Amino acid sequence: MATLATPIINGGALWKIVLASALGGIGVVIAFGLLVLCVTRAEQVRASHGGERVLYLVGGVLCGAFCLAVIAIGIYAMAKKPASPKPASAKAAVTIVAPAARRG
Amino acid sequence: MSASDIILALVVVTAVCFDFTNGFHDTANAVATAIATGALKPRVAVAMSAVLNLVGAFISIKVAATIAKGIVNAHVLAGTAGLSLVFAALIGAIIWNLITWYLTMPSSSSHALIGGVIGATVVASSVHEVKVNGLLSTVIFPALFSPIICGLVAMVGTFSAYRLIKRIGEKQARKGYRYGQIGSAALVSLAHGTNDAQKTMGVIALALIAHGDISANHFYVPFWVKLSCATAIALGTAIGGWRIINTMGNRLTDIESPQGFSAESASASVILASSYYGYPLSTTQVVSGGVMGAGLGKQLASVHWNVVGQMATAWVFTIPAAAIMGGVAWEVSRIFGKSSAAGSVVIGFLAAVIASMIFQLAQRNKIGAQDLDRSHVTPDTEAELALRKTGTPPAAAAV
Repeated sequence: MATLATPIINGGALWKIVLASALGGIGVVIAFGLLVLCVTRAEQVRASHGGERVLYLVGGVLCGAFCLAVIAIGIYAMAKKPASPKPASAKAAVTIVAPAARRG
Repeated sequence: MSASDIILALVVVTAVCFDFTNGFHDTANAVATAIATGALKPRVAVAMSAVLNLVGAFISIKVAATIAKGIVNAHVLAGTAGLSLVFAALIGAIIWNLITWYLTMPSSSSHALIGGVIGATVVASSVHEVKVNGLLSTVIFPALFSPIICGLVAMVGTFSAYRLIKRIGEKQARKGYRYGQIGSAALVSLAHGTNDAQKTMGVIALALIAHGDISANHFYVPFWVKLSCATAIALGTAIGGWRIINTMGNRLTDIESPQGFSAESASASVILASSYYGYPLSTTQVVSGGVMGAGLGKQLASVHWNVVGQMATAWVFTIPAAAIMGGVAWEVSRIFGKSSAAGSVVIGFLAAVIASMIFQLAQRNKIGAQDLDRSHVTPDTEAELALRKTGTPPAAAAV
């Protein structure tokens, strides 16, 4: 088998993956929980404390915006993920396409 | 019609069949926890997942990695013999997928495909054609780190969720997290469609290049390939792999809506972050790690370690077992000549017989959507159930 010539682990990328996963995975759960908390509290204080209700609603909107932003970033990451090297690299192209000449 | 044309047709049909098995084998990844908590009815969940898998397959038109990328040397896959090799690899992957489905074990369809390629390559050429570096960096290493990262993220997320529940109140929190589960399951379905359908598109595109239908210098995936792969994975998902959904949703841990939401959110984050930074992952392993982490985040003892052990064994054996099957398929095919269509037809027929036998065996202990329906469990009853189990209110049971 081929020998190991290049580093297997890209430490920088791994660290970014851990950070992004933690921010997305834990952040969304907390933000969503706070959103539910804010909405619940806003309903509870609806009649008595107008100012407090507005604060809870603003908090809820911010948490909801965070969740939506994370989802939007996720979909962007899906659509823009780095393209894998094509088999169209010169060497592969020659080795793979060459047999087609025999076909015709 | 030449031998090459026949083998190409077989590769295309088999790749689409593989995509179908991938769909029903991996449906559990996205919707198992949503079904287990009763957030979605089973059939609604798989229908949603099927549609999003279909959409996901079209989201990114950048060609995903071909199975050969970084795993084996490209020249192995050249010409008619290369087509036969890809066909043998697909057969190995499909059979292993069906075996693990029968055994109700979530395992990686991508790893099965890679195993099939490695096995057929080693038997067809030599072990020197396998790129160890590529195998370690794109398969083995991500397989090791991804479930651990996802598990840790889900564990902290679950812990945080149960802390918040104490402040929110049981009923409102559980109701809220159920809605959240629908969103997070949708995102995982979308990511699964993008990742896995693209892999099969890459296989078919590679076969078309080897056959000379596409120029490698102007590489693209024809629309009919995209459409057939997207449709196959969506149909497979719509069929619903109830056996594996049961394992993932009910047998790994006793899951509640905050845990399901944490597990799915963590899974989506890890899958998307890793694929963005260039690490291809098995969605099955990531979601399994997330479900385990969610179990640990609530109560350390609530993970069923015997099931985890069985699943880990299936993971370890996936590449070697699929490699053996791919190698055997190639060896049987070679009896009829290295570039002969007869060999591929024979192993295709044998694979169909084996698949049929596995389906027949599975009918003996069939698991259906009705067995998994927990939509009657409301947020109130979920809280009551948790109370009965632990003797303490669910929120108080958080570590």
